[in-house]
Amino acid sequence: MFKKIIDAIDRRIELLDLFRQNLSEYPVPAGLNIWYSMGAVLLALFCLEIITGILLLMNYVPHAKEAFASVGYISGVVPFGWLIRRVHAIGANMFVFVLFLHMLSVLLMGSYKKPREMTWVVGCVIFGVTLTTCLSGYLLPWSQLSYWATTVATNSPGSIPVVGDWMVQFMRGSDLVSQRTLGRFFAMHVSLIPFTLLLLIGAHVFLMRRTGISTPPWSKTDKTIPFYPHFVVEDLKVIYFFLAILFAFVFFYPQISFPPDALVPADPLNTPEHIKPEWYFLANYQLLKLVPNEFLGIIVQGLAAGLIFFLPFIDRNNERAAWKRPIFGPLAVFGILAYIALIIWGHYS
Amino acid sequence: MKNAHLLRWLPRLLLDVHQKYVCVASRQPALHLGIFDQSRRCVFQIKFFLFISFFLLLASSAAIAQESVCFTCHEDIAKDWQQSIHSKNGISCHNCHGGNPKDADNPMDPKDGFVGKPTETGVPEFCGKCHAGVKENYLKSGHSAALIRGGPNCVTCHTAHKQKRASLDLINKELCTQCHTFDRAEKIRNAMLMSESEITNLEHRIDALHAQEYDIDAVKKSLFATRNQFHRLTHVVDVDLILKETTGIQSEIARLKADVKEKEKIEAKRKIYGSIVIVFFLLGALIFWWYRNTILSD
Repeated sequence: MFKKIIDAIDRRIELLDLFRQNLSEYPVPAGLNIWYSMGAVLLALFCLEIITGILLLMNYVPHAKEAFASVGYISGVVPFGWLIRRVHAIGANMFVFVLFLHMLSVLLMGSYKKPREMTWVVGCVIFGVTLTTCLSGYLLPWSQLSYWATTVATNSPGSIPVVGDWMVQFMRGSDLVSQRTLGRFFAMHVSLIPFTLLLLIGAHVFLMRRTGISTPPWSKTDKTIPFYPHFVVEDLKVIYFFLAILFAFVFFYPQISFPPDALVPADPLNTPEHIKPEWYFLANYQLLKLVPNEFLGIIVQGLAAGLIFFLPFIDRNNERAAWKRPIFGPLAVFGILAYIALIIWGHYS
Repeated sequence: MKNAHLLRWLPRLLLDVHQKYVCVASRQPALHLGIFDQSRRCVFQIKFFLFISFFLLLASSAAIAQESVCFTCHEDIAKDWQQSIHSKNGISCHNCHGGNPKDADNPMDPKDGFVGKPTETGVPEFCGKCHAGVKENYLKSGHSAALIRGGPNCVTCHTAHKQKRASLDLINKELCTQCHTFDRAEKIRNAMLMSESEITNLEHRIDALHAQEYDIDAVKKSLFATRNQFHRLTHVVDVDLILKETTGIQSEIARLKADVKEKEKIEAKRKIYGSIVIVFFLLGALIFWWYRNTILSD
């Protein structure tokens, strides 16, 4: 019966042909390992974020007076609301973490080189948009942590000459973080950014499909395997592994995303003692503290971001493996270690 | 009367104004005979006034605690105060001593309600402005009776500016034997020990549940009230009274324990289901790994 339905559909729209072309007969390099599955993990996490986000949206109230209470209602009264909220918050952190791993592997394996420059550039934009999503979503619970972390984060552009104050005003919609800021961030978080991200992910996958998956630098053979089922099973293995980690945090250590200040409603008159941004902004935060002039700190960060963004056009060397390059390799490792050191320093400072 | 006094008496003032004018205007004077919940409107008005006054009080203590000019001269006291429970709760110099902490030229003007340092015998009244229940119990005690002869007042045990969160540790041999033997104090301490350790234990369990995002506000408030009621008893310095009152406190603790246990059971269940979910995903990963390496490698 089921086969008859499939055949009937296939006779009309040739679905199986599409399946063969893009999945079962689509060849990918045989030597792919766990690092090549990071994109699939990110896709799975993105879907999870969208689903949990829609469910949260059913009960969340984007108003400064009611936002915190509505989040409490979700966690305490809505059936499985606590689970949905934890998965959404911890899943967002995991998304950023896996995105870092994905970019790291692409960087060290030189997969950004010709003909995949555009894939890298779109990937960098996805990274930037992801951080914006996280920043906008962070304010929504309207807790002490979210309020003050947003205050700190939206203060930074203020040091830019001429346009700084205007930028702060534009982001907040008022002099201080307020209902207007919440309204803006909410609209961005639930409508503008997810659709932008969806388009960018589509473009990224399209470019990846057009240029093909890069052969691992260590592979000495041209042997290929079909994308389905071989590589799909490989992807599923890694996705399941990361989901196990995600749920370990969700059920056993949710405090990783909900420190004590996240459980207290926002109080604009009472600044918490040690307010810090989320871990993925800690390196930027610490760098701004180290550089004597805040504007200079922003320029340094802008230059670093520009260097990463234009890397495929700056680095024209044919050798892809970073570990075989005496200058680029140590520089890349130093950059990564410095970034991790700044995160740790920012956490303990 | 400026900032400090105004803010201290504002809630009362607003309530008086409300009772005298607002409800009379709405022709519902009977509602002030203790049956507030018959009229939502009335309750809302009072809540609104109290919210505004509480908000202003909070705003003033949080902001002024940071800006007090007192610290420029009384640096040593400021250091002590910074370690105190008062500092943690936003209670600053002017909240007890009056004056205007924003007026750098004349912060200690009696016109601003400045009362300065109280006399030894005036300390209970001074602290009792806020800790009324404790004062009431203290006045029944032998400590209070001996005050005029140099007996202990609040700061003898709690210190003047470095007050820690009250606990049974305050009843110790070193402190009590400054004036008398430790026998009676030890009896009081032992009588309170079990309930105190139960309260402390319950506080930790409530904090753990709060970290897991459970709604524990009601339980926390009840425990806070019980703890205060229990600690107030100490100030009467009467073992028999403490033993008598402990029965009631124990039943309240038992009720709160049952509430907490209920939530802990839910948390335990969640963890069991969570373990099943994690094992499911790990097993799935293992099966996919095995499938890829055996069947598909051919």
